Amino acid sequence: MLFSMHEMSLASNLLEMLRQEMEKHGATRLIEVRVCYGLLANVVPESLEFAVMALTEGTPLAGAKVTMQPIPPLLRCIGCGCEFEPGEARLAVFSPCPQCGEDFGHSVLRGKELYLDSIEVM
Amino acid sequence: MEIAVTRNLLESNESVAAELKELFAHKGLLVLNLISSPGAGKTSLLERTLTDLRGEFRMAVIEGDLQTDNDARRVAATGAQAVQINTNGGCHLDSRMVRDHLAPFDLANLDILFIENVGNLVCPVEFDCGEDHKVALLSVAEGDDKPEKYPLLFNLAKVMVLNKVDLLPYVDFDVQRATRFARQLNAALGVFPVSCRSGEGLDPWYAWLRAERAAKKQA
Repeated sequence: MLFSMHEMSLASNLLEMLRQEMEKHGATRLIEVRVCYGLLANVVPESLEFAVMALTEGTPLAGAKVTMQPIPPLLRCIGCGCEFEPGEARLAVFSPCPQCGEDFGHSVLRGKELYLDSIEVM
Repeated sequence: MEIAVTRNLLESNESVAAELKELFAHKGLLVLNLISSPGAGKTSLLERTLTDLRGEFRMAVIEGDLQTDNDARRVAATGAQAVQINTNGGCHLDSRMVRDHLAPFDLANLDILFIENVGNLVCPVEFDCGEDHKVALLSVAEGDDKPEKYPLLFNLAKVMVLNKVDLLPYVDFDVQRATRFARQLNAALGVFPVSCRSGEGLDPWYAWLRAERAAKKQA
């Protein structure tokens, strides 16, 4: 297998977590996996879904639905200190502040997260 | 049945990275993670550094590449110990790979360990390898808008080495622009314009290495 995206290693971490959580709760079947990801986390949701599918094929985890829940960024303006949600998430770090217009150097309060939120099991 | 979990997908990388930091601190070893696009000159910077400072520091290198041990051989030609990790398609090194390749090194008898990451400005930034600092490398043969396009690296790096400045007369790279954007992302970022080809500008980079090494040893 030749994969060049880091979603593959994220997916194998996720799978390990899924196995642990299922064992902890005595679950036998995985129905749904919900992952939350910040829009600034450098994750391509489709790639992560694909990687989970590819890695679970032929295992007891196969067939689970993967739901990717985006988290919109929240920034604090470096100029005036106000907090705001930038319009275009992709360029969030360079978005103009709605109050003072400063468009660079904001700190990211939210939007870099990447975590397994919950699972649906039987 | 729904089970609430809330676990960071990078938690296993981060826990191994924390173990590594403890190990490196215990040994008083300075560890630097070199990150750049392919071809910016990570290996050339190491060749220069390992040669010029070999009488001063005991240094070693972990080389990350998709394939081949070309870089480890280049680096080893300077006399420094080098271990190659082939990621076989993986786009970054992670803390576990670093941990699993430490066995050949006598860490207690090293001053500086360089981790030359896979050439890539995106994924390596996300995976902590237990280093003290990330070193961002950019060459003037690339666009001067790299800090704008890949903000996370320049935001997290301690210093930016700007390589191939001997090419400045032939390219449109604006050093001021690249530096200004990078510093807006990271006000404390140290910037070292160098040419690994001519040797120009390397002294401030060496001075920084000396200062960081001294600080780590005292800690």
